[in-house]
Amino acid sequence: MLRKTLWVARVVFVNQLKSLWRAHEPRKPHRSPSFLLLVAQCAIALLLVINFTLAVRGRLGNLAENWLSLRPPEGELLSLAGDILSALLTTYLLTHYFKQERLVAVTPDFEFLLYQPLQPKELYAGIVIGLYAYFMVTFLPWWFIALVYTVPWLGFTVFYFFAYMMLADPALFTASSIARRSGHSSTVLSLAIAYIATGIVHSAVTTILDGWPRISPLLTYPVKGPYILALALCESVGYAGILILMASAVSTALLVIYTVGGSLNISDFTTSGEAYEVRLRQALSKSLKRGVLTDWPSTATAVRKVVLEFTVYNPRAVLRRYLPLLLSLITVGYVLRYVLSSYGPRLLSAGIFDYMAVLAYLLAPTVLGGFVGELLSNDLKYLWVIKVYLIDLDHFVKPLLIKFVIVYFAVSSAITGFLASYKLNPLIMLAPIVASPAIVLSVFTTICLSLVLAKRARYRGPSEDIYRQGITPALDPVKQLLLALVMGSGLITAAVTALIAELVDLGILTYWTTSVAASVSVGTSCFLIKFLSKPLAVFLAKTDLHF
Amino acid sequence: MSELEPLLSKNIDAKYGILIAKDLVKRFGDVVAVDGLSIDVSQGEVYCLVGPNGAGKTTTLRMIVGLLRPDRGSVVIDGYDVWTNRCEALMRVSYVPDYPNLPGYLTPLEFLYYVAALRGFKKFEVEESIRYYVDVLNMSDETKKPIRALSRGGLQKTAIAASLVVKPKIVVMDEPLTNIEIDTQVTFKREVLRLAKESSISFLISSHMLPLIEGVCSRVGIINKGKLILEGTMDSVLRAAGEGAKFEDVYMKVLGKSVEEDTMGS
Repeated sequence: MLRKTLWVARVVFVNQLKSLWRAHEPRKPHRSPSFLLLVAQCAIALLLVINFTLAVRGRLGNLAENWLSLRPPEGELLSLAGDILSALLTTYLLTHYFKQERLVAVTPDFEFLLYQPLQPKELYAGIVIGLYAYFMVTFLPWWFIALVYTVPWLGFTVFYFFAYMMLADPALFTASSIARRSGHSSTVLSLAIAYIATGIVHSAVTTILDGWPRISPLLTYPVKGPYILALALCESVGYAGILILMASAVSTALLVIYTVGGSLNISDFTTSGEAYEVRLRQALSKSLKRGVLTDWPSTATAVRKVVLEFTVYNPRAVLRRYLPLLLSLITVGYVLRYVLSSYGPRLLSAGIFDYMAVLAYLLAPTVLGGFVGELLSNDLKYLWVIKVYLIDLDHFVKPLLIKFVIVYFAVSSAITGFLASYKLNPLIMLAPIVASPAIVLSVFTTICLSLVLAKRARYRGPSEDIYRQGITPALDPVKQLLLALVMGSGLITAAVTALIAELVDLGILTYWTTSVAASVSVGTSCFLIKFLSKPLAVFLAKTDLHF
Repeated sequence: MSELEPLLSKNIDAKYGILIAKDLVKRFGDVVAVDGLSIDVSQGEVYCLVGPNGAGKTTTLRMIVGLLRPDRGSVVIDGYDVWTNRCEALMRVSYVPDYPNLPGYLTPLEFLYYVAALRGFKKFEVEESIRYYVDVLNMSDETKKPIRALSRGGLQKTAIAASLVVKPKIVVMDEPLTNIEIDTQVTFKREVLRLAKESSISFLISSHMLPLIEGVCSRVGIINKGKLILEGTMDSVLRAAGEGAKFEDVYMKVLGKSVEEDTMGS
C-alpha cells in the first residue's frame, strides 16, 4: 500500500515541478495551482514578518504567552494584525470545507492516476505527500534567507508550519467527506458557523471592555497555535528536532488519511478540466451584466473599448485593485514608521526590510508575469483578428501601450505611496510620474518580447486548454531568456523609480525641480507613446503569427 | 496517373485572378513548409486546397492573409500586394482559421459588429447581413453568451459569420466545417454557392471533407510536401480520372496510393 502511495507521490511531485516552467498564468475563473501557492506564500510571509518583528525585539521568550494572551499589551498593532490574519484564515478554513461539496482536482499531468488500480486513500495520500514535497522545494529560498540571517529556526518553522497546513487540508477534507456521506454536512457547517459567531462575540465583548481591538483566541488559535508550537519547538530541539517534526507531520497526515480514508470515494476526485468547466459555468452565470454592445461609433473607438475596457486590466478593475493596494501600503508604511521609531536600529540590523524585499520579490514577478500573461492570453491571443480585419494597426497599438502603462504606473505609485507614508514625504509620490518615460519604454519592450514569445510558443489552443491538456512544456531556454528580458526591463524601471524617490527623499530633487521633471516626463511619455506606436505597429504587421 | 498528366501543376496564367499567389516559399528552420507554390483564384470561383496533414495548406493560407511572411514569392489580392500594399489588399479578404481564437469576453453578436467596425462599417451597413448570417448559421441561441462559453463549433460559426459580414472579395477558410453540425454544413454549402454565383465572391477553402470538396468546389488543387501537385476544375479532374471516378480516387492516385490498398490497410 505504501509503495503505491509513494509512486503516486513521485508522479505528483515531478509533474508539479514541471509546472514551474510554464509560460503564462491563466487567470480567473481558472486560477492555477501556482497562483494559489503564491497567495499562500504571501500570507505566510506576512505572518513571518509580524513574528520576526516581535522576535527580534527580544520578546521571543514571551511570544507564545503574548499571542495566546487575551490581553495583549496596549498598542500592539503588529499582534493585532497577526490576530486578524489568523482569524481570517481560521474562518476561511472552517467555512470553506463544509459549505459546499469539495472535490480533489487532479491536473491533466497526473490525471491518469484516476484510472489506475489504486485505492482512493492511496491516491489521496500520494497526492498529499507529492504536493508537500513540491511545496518544500519551492519554499527552499525562505530557508536560505533565514540561514543568512543566522536565525535558521525561522526557516524551519516555515517548513513545519507548511507541514501543519498540509496536514490540516486532508484532515478537513476527509472530515467534510465523512460529514457529507453521513448526511451531516449542514449540521457541521452550522457548528462551524456557531463557533465562528462565538469567536466574534467574544472578540466584540473584550474589545468593548478593553477599549482596544481584540480578537478572540477561539478565532486565532487554530492557525497561530501550531505556529507558536513550531517556533517554540524549533528553538528548543534544534535541527534534528525539526526534521523529526516534519517527518511526524507527514506520518500523521498519512495516518489520518489511512484511518479515515475508507470513507473516501473515487467520486471525491475530479479532473482540473472538469473543475474548470464547473467554475466557468458559475462565472458565466454571473457575467455579462452589461448590455450587448453592437453600436461602435468608429474603428478607433471599437478597438479602444475592447482593448481597454473588456479585458482583465480595464481601468475600472485597475482602480478597484489600485485603491485598496495604495491604502494598505500607505497604512503599512505608517505602521512601520511607528514601529521603527521605537525599535528602529534593532529591526534594521535584524533584516526586517530584507523580508519586505522578499515580499517585493514575490510581487514583482507576479505583476510582470501578469502583464505577459494578459498580453498572451487576452490581447495577443486573437491577434489574427486584428491583423486580418483591422486596416490601421495604430488603432490597436496605442490603447495597448496606454493600458499597460496605466497598470505599471498604478503598481509603481502604490509602492511609492508606501515609501511616501513611511518617510512622511508626499513628494515621493511623484517619482513614478518622473519615471514614466522609463515605464513606457519598459511596456514597449514587454509587448515586443511577448510577441516574440507568442511566436515561440506556437500555441494555438485557448489559454484554458492548459487545464485540459496539461502543463508539460519542454524547458525552452529561449523562452526563459525572453521572460528574463521582460523581468529585466521591469526591474530597471523599478530601479529608476527608486532612484528618483531616493533623490527626492535626500532633498536633491526639490519641490520645484520634481514638479518640473514630472511635467517634462508626462510630455515625454505622451510623445514616446505616439512615437513608439508606429514601429510597434510595423513590428506587429511583420511578425509571423502562428496562432 | 498518365490521364491526370495535363492537370499536374504548371505555371499558371494569373492575369485575371482576384488572388494571385506566386512562387510562395516558407521555411521553419530546416523544414520547408511551402515550396514554390503558386495559386490563382478568379472572381466568383470556389477553389479547394486539399492534401495530407502537414502538406502546407494552413501555412499557405496564412501567408495569403498576411499572418505569415513568405520567405520568397508574392501574394496579390485584387491587384494589391499583401506585403507592400497591406491595407488595400486586406480590405478585400477575410479569413477563417482552423482554430479561431476569439476575444472570449465579447458575445458572438458583439464580435460580428466589432469585426465590421474594424473594417470601418457602420452598424446600419451590416445589421441586416449579421441578422441573416446569424440565422443561416444557426447561431440565434448563442449570440448573447460570452464567446468563451461557446463550443468549438460555435467558435467556427462565429468566425465564418464574421468573414462574410465584412463584404470581402475573397474569403479564405481553413477547415471551416470541422465540428459544425450537419444541417449547418448543408446551409453553409448552399450559401457559398449562392455568394459565388450572385455576389461573385471568391472562396479559397482548405478542407479534408469530401462532401464539401465535391459539393462546392469549382476548382481544386492538391498539395503535398509544400508543392501543388495537381490543379484543375473539379469536372476536368474527375473526367481525366476516368468514367465514374470519384474525387477520392483522384486524390489517392495523385498521392501514389490505391484506394483498395488503403482500405485494406485500415
